[in-house]
Amino acid sequence: MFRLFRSAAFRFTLLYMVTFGASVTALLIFVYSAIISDMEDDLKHSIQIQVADLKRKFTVSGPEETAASIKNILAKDDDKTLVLMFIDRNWQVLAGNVERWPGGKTSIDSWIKFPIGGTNGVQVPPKAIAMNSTLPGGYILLVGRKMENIEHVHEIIVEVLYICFGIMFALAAAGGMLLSYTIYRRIDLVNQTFRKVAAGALTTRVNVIGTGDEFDHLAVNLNQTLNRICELIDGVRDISYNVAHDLRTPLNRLRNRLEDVNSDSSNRKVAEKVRACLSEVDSLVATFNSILRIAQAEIGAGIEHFTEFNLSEAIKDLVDLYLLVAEEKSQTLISEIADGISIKGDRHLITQMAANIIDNAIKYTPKSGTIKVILKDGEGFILLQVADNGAGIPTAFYHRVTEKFFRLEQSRSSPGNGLGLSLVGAAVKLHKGELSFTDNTPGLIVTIKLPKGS
Amino acid sequence: MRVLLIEDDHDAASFIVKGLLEAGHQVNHIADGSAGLFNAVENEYEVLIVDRMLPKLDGLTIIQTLRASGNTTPILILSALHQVDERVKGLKAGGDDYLVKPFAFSELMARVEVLVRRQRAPNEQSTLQVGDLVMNFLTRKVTRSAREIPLQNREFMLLEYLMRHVGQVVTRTMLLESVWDFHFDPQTNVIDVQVSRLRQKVDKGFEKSLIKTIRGVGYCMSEN
Repeated sequence: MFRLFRSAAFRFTLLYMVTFGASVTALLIFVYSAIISDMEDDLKHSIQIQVADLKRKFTVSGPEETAASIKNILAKDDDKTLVLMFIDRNWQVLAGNVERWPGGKTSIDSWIKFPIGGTNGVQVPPKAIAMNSTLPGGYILLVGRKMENIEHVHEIIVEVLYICFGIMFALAAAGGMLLSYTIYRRIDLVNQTFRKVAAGALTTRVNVIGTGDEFDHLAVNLNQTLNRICELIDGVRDISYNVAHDLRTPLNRLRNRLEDVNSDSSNRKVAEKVRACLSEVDSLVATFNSILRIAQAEIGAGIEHFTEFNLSEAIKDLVDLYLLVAEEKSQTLISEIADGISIKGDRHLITQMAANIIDNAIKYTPKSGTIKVILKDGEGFILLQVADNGAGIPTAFYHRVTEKFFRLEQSRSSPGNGLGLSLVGAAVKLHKGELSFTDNTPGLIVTIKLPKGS
Repeated sequence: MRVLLIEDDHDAASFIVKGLLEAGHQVNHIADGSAGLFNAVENEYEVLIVDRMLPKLDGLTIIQTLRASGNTTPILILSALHQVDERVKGLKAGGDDYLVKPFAFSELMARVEVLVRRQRAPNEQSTLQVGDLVMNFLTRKVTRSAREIPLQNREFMLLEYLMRHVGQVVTRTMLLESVWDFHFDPQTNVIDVQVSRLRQKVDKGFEKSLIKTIRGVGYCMSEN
């Protein structure tokens, strides 16, 4: 729910509804007031004509004739919409259908509105609009109309307004959602693509629909950016390959020549020194290979070559391989490996990763220590854990041990290049897993969680 | 044996040629891809050593062309490309083995000999015998001088590999790749420990030891 409120689509819908609602409301109010004022104008107009008629009658024929004429008019008024009153200076009603003076001061030709009772006890008494005019000799004439029609129209319009609000709300919501969905779909397309790219499928591109709109422009621009990134990555990869090739060739020659010297020489001392040189070359090559392999994993290369394989078997084989090494050091290597766990990934990289951790555990655990390897099916992930009771790593360095060439002071004397855990980190990342270290008091627990689907 | 080496790096080539000649083999060296392919088609060789990156014609193309034309001569690919998928590509193209530069000549020699031997003798026997050591595949039992030697599965596979390549030098990397199917550089001497355990079971208490250590190279199983 919280996510819904935060989504741009929701906010667009809301904004759309408010804008749409405000414009429709303004329109309806305008129509309403136009109709009402138009109707009032009509009434006023007919009142003015009648006032003029009666005034003429008064001037020509006098008060008695006027009163008679009013009575006559009222008698003919079948619709009962007329309101008339004719009084003399003593407030004596000479003719008319209004029982009592509605109040308000009399003046020359002024408009008044007043409730007019007596229509069968209606809750809201109908209103009337009238013009009162003072005639010569103190006579007062009130000519008006009941506003029943206008009130009726008002009621209809209000009713229509409510219905309109309902329809408008529904339309605005539907329109807003449609609009937002259209935008959302296009944006989601971009998001999906970028999620795939971020996951390592670098060749994925945003689908250009061909409408030529802003979204297509955006897609084209993003695709160009992705292409550029791919070119750069390819460039880096090419450099790796070229460096690999160009450095390997001289290393190869160096190694060849050293071997050559060795086979030609009968001098035992020379042979011994050359052998040392050869092993230096070999460790140089090993470091070099590690860097390349880490770089490859970091780039996300090889993700398209992922295959499904039996991880349980691979880890069992590894433990089996290292069991004797541990025994040589009088260490106990225990394993709890669940059967039948398979994973989709780079088999060689994952075995290398596991080998590096087990290797480290054996290396940094003193004689007669214990190393425990666990592989099990967690909820939603595969858990690989290697725990030892050796010296461990100070907690402060947990986040640094996967850095390339990072080595703890205490381990500098032992063989290794400081790349083992970097490779572990890169491999875990490539497989979208999590790597964590915890204190085994004493010792280190390395925990790797790999997603089942990866 | 007759070997064709297709390699554009003259320094590396002369080193390989010298080594092979010293080991008593006949070697023909060609420096570019298309001439190499032509030569391989025209002549009979027991093994081809082909560099992955060559001028004029790429190593993988040479191999694919040869395999497509029905040529089954074993091929060892040499490459400066270390990545696992490169290796897979090489083997998919029809190569029989893949060796990454730089390598020790002994590693090259061991692999070449294994390739040639595999070509000569397809293994269909139900038993293998080296001296008084007998491995029976039907019963999965190993005996020496009629005394049974209990072996675990992986030890059995390790011994089988050594016995199949009797008289040949096998390197640690070859063992790790073939017996365990692991393609990485172990930081510890895992293979040495495994072999020494196997040796204790197979050779201890017997006058003759069959598994021999070849210093700086690997191991060799032989009767004498």
